[in-house]
Amino acid sequence: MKKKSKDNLFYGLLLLPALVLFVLFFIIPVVQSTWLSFTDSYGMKSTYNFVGLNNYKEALRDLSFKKTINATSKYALISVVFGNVLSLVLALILDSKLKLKNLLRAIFFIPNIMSLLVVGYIWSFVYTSVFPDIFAALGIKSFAILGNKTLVVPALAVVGIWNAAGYYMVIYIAALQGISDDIIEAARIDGAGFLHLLHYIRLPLIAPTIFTCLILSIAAHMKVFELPYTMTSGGPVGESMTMVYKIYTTAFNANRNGYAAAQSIILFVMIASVTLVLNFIMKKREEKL
Amino acid sequence: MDSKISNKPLYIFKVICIWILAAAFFAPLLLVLLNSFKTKGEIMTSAIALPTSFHLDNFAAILSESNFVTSFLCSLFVVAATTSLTVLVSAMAGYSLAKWKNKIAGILMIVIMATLFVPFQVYMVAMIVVVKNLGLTGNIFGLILVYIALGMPVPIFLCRSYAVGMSKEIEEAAIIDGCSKWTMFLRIVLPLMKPILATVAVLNALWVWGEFLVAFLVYGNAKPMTLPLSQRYFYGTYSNQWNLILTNFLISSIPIVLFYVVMQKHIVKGITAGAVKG
Repeated sequence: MKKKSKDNLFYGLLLLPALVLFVLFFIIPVVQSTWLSFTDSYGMKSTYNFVGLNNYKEALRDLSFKKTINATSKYALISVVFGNVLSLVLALILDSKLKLKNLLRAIFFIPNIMSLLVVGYIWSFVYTSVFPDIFAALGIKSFAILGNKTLVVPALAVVGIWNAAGYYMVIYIAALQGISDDIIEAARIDGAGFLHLLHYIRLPLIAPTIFTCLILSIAAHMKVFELPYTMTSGGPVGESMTMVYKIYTTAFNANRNGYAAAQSIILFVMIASVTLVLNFIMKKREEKL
Repeated sequence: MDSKISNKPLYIFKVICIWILAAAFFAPLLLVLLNSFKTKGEIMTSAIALPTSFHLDNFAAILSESNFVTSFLCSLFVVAATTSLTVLVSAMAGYSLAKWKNKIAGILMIVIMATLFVPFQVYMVAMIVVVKNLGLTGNIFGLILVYIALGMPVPIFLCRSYAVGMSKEIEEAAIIDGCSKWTMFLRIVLPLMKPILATVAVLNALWVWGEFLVAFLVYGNAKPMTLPLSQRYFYGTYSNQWNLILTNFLISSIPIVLFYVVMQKHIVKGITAGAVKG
């Protein structure tokens, strides 16, 4: 009996530091965030009133907020679809026999280890100084890519893809290496070419990984903040203002904590529902097999 | 490979594709490198031309700027403190969650895993209120605490999985030999967990080194700035002096690239281990 309580003390104390941090910097903020979203909390003022669903109603009417949902979804859609296709292509090529494979991997991965802030600034240099020079050299009339309403979000997505492609490539390579050589060899002997192998063997076998990468990359890209912050300040006319950027300005520039909390909850619901739908599809697919 | 000959065109196609992509990926970095050797005037004339001479004035200017060196050291300190404490806290928690036969441990595990699905950005507004109430805004140790809290869920998960697979015999033998449970944890368990701890540490260090948003919100404009904070400040102060800005980026990226070269295996292991759980 005494030994048991001593054990409990030992394991409890081991867990304690993580638990304290967890309660302070996760449980309390999450609960408070939910609560704040139903109040008119303003800045650091300690008194505020319960306003029911007013913040949510305002968000649904607020054109500038709806615009950020649009921009974020567009950005995430482009980055997720093209990014995953690109990462998969890189992985398929780098999984085969190739010279200088390690150098190539490093080239694709280094953008991922750089700070997103630095990535944003470097690309703002590329878009504002390099592209005009390239246009001039080609004799094309120069225009501001980041100032163009239709091009600005795709231009940011290019940077998002450049930054993230190496990360998902690493995951896809690991999945491809997990396919046993016997299966590939057997299919080869049966006369399967590259595309047949890809369509009937490789892609179906790594389908769970594709779903994982889709889920991870959707969540990652929907949280984008640094890129519009460094490259466009949300412009032109709010066209590239993303949700996290909007939450940031609502909370820290306009000081409307309550409204910002409601916007955060809406972002969470969006990410969670896409994740759940993808999870559901993945489960369905596994059951079929 | 008996299919080598028939696959020759495919092989060439692959090689051409991958090198075109690699060139496209490397181009922005190459531009940073080239322009860090130019003067401001040269960049204004053309951002894509080769530098006329390899003069190193920009490098000298950045390295002699005291703020850059201070921020560099500040970031080193923050990374060292955050990563070592994250590793310790996660190893302790992960081990406890793996070995504690208790209902609370089971529930806690599920709750901690739930954090993985709630991004920081969702509760950042309330988090800053908590940080302010604790009096930790603008405090470097406050920033480190928040980093540990935000960075620990995946490490705890990985440590727990690792500890579940560790044999009980060694630990029991140590206890029989008269070790206290704490000595056993420090002398036996931690060294046994070294492989997973190294992986966790490498990924954590990479994240902390380049992290901006959390530092910006928690630490703000306090001094000494971390590197990303100082880079934002630098960009604001030296706007349009791309020669200096790009050189700053280049120098501050060198350690992280070297780190990648040395730690490649751990990085790959960590990313794939973290993704498998999803």
